[in-house]
Amino acid sequence: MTRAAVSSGFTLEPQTAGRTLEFAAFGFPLGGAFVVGWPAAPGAVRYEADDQPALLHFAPARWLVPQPHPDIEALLQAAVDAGAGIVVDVEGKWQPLLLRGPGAKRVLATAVDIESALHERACAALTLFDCPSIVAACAGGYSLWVRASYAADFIAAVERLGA
Amino acid sequence: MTPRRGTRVGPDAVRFSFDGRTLHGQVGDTAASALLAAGVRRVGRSVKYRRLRGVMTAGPEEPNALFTVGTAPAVIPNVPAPQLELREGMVLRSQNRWPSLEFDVASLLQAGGGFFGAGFYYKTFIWPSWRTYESLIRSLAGLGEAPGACNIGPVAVEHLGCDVLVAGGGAAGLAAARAATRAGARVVLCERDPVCGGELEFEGGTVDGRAGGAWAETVVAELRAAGARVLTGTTLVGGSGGEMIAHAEPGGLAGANAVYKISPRAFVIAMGAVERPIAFVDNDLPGVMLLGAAERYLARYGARAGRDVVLFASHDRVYASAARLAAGGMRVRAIVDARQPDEIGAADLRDALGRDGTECLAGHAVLAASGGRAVSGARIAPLAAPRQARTVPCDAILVSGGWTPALHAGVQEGGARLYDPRSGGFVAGEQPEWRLLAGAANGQFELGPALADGVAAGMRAARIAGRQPLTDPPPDGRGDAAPRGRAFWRSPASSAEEKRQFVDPQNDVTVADLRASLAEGFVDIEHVKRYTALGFGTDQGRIGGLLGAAVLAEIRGRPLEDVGTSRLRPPFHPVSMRSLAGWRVGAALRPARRTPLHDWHVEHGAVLESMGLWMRPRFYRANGDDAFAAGIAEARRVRDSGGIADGSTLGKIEVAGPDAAAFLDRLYLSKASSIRVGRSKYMVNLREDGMVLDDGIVLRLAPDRYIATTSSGHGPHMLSHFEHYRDTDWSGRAVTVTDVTEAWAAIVVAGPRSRDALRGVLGAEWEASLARLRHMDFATGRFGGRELTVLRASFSGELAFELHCRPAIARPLWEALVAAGLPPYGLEALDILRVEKGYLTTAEINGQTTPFDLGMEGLVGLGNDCIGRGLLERPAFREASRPGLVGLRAADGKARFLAGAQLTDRAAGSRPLGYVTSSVYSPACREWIGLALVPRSHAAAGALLLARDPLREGDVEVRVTPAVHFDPGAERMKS
Repeated sequence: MTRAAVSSGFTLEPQTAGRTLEFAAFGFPLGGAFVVGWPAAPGAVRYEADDQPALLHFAPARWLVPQPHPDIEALLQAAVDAGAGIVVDVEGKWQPLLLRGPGAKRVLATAVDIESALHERACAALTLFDCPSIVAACAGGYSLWVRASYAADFIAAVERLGA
Repeated sequence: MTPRRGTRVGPDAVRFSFDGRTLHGQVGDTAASALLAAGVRRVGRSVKYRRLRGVMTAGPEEPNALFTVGTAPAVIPNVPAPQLELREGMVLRSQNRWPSLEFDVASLLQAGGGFFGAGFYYKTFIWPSWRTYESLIRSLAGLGEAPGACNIGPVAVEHLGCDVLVAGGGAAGLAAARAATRAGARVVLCERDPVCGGELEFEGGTVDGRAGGAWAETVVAELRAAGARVLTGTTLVGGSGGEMIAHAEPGGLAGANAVYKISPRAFVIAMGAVERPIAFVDNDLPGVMLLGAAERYLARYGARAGRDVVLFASHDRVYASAARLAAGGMRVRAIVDARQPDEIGAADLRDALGRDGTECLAGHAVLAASGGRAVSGARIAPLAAPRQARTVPCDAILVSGGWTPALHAGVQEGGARLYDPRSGGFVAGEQPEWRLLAGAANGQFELGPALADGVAAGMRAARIAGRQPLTDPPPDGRGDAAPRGRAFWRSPASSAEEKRQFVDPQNDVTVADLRASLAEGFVDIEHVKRYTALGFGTDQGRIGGLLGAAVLAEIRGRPLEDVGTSRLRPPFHPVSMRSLAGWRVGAALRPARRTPLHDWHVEHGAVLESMGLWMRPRFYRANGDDAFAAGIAEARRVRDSGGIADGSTLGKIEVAGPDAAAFLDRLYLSKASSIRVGRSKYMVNLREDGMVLDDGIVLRLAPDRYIATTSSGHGPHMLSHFEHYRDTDWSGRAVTVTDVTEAWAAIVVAGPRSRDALRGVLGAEWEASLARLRHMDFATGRFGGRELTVLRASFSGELAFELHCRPAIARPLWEALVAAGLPPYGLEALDILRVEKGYLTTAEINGQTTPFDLGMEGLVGLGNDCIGRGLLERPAFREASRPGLVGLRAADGKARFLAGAQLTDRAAGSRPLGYVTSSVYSPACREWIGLALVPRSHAAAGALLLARDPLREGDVEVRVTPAVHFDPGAERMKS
């Protein structure tokens, strides 16, 4: 997938998709000692030192782990050991993208009221341009994870906005 | 563009053409103002009677001056001239005339004295058939011409969230927006005009001691500085479920349109009021205009509606208007007030006007407009003595029957309306807490109270949005006094004259039409609307709706509040289809899903087909350009040696947790808990009503972990089905459901050579696994450093495997298989292979078939208590009339029959028994074969039926066979 650079105040850059996990809890809210360090509130995100989202509570009782670091994997394992849920390896399910620039918000506002969607939360599972997606605010714009089978059309839809 | 205000000065700057005639306007003119200034009075003809018409209003509710803009084929029809900003070189054409506006052949239909009233066509053109005349009548009907091409650019769509949405940027709307903004609310304000201010700019009022227009500009600046969105040239056209839709067509012409989808926490409707006409004879002649429109053309554009005018109204504000028009250079010959002297105020103004030569007539009415092709006089008479009529020469009659609050946005979703005797119209009844009204839309027609009303609404809206409003006093507004009018709807007329008293000029609805409707038994206002077309068209009844209802009430002798008006529906203002489509145009109409092998398919000549949202190879051009021949070649190759297909589109749901087995037992007709780890099973889901929902293979990866595959088209639906039960019946249980469709690419390897080819591709480490795999076994391992699952399963009847791998290695694995001598095959071949084996797809699992119908009695007999099991036990599902799945072949062994053909017995006139669900030409059987659903009473092998397909194949005699056409013992699959 090529980089989509658009002139209308935003850029959309596909990122390399690596190992990706989802954690699904049996119930919610999470309870027990293992929850320390978890983004437990709906829409909460745990960021890494490089300001990249590392653990996203994107839907009820469901978390995305874009690039599992050892400390995050340890968190997940503790949760599994506590009988709180299941980790599923979903490598290939999500196409990560970076949408940046002053026009980035306007791009997403074409598809959804992004300001309200991210009101008092850092991430949300949304349908953007009819494509199932996860959006998280990040420095300079948004980190997106679009279902891989939709990614080409998602990129095309965004490129049309910049044409 | 901000319009020029005041008198017309300087050189004309904008050249345009109207009906081929070159004219000039000024920067900021609308088409209507430019034509008025140029002295063009006739601008179109009416849709039905083809009567000459002039500009009547100054807003989007214009019923007459609708133009076709541009040159064919990319024309834009029905553009209201008062909204259309003039541009250099603009080409305008009048509508509803042929060959020209001045001479129209169809207008001769009205010659002879009578109009063809409502219902005339349907009651007259019935012999020999309506169809005989339909084409001609339809060619004469309709507004404008449909464009042959679209020249509208991309539409900008924006979703906006806000605390307070204010619709209308007049005095009340601005006051509301400012009060809410000062309270800290996030505000969006929509104003249909290019600038805010509404009536302020020409009423001559002041706000806080400043000219109204200047105050409006200051407020807009304050709003923008505080972060509010002020969307001018943007009309609120409707809404649903709390989301309001605003539409912008810059310059009043579809081109660079924008659509705003606004979700406010509170909504203030301040869309003003629409001035009403009065019905009198020939009140549609060019030169009859609404009074407020004439004022706006004069104040904003310096364009005069006429030189010598007669004003006809029934409220006090007409006198202030007359003074302003006179000051603008128009000679007001007479003011005709339908009220009696003791009802009329504004004595000072009346005296002053009288001193200047204006005749002020109380208790009078304009009975008719004089003139053949435009107004040349007004026939005036005392209401008490209509026979004492006289004619006052004039070139315009300016009419004001009062104002109707513009409630549309407040009642489109069913809000109540209440009759308001003050305005003679309807105001909003009880509204949801978050929806407020202000200003004229709320029945406040005086500037000061309207401003106060706006401030109160803005503060309340801010409070609803959780803000703490300040307690600023409302602005001090001083303008025209309250109208203090009395509703007056129509002048006296004889029965014959009522045919020329128009209540809805856009649809040529007259008082006589309303009488005819009642005589025909159409009494309710909604029925009258449909019989006469009252309130249809681009103005959506804003001009004639209330007037028509009021005249209807008068004729019926009922109060107007009892008659009511027809329901107001969105859109409030015409919206181009292009805007409704938004960004969903062309390839973006709906997304296409692509598999990890998509690029390979394209590079290798695959002809793709959309299945659900998935793009799937139908066949490969390497096997020919003809889908039929290519499909046969690909299928034959699979049977002879082998082939591969992209199965990545299969839905895949990972079900995990200690309760996973029990959960799946509930969802499937047979038990998942009985599947051993490393094994898989073909399973079927039922709907709650016992019908088959979907089928697929369930793999048990671990004691607490399964992958359930679904058919490609049903993937999202099955995921919802699983999640629904996970979140309801199974809430709190230790089971999770995760969609892993894209996490696993799937390659189907089928054919006698498949195992050998796989050995070569996967290498020695897979040798033992491949050797031990029995049907429905699977093995896991690695390929290219990534996970790979090899499942032995077949949907072709051949020895076959499904390779489930990570997408990253799908292409190298696929290419290795091709290199090993397994060419790809597509959907055409897939269909042939599965029909030969009698396997099912959505053609048979169609939501109307039970497991019994599809030959799955064995699965039912397992007795699992699953969803749908209870209703599956209904005795009706066992009756002989239920369909059964059978095979079909042509009785002569040669003829073709197609899916969809109806099956009957061979007697003439027989009713359909069932239908062909699937049919293919089978290279293995060397004839056409099919699957069908027919009543069990007709399902015996050897029975002869007729496949009736009159539009495609004609009648073909077919023979019922077992559903499995090829290798019934499944020897090839087990090999």
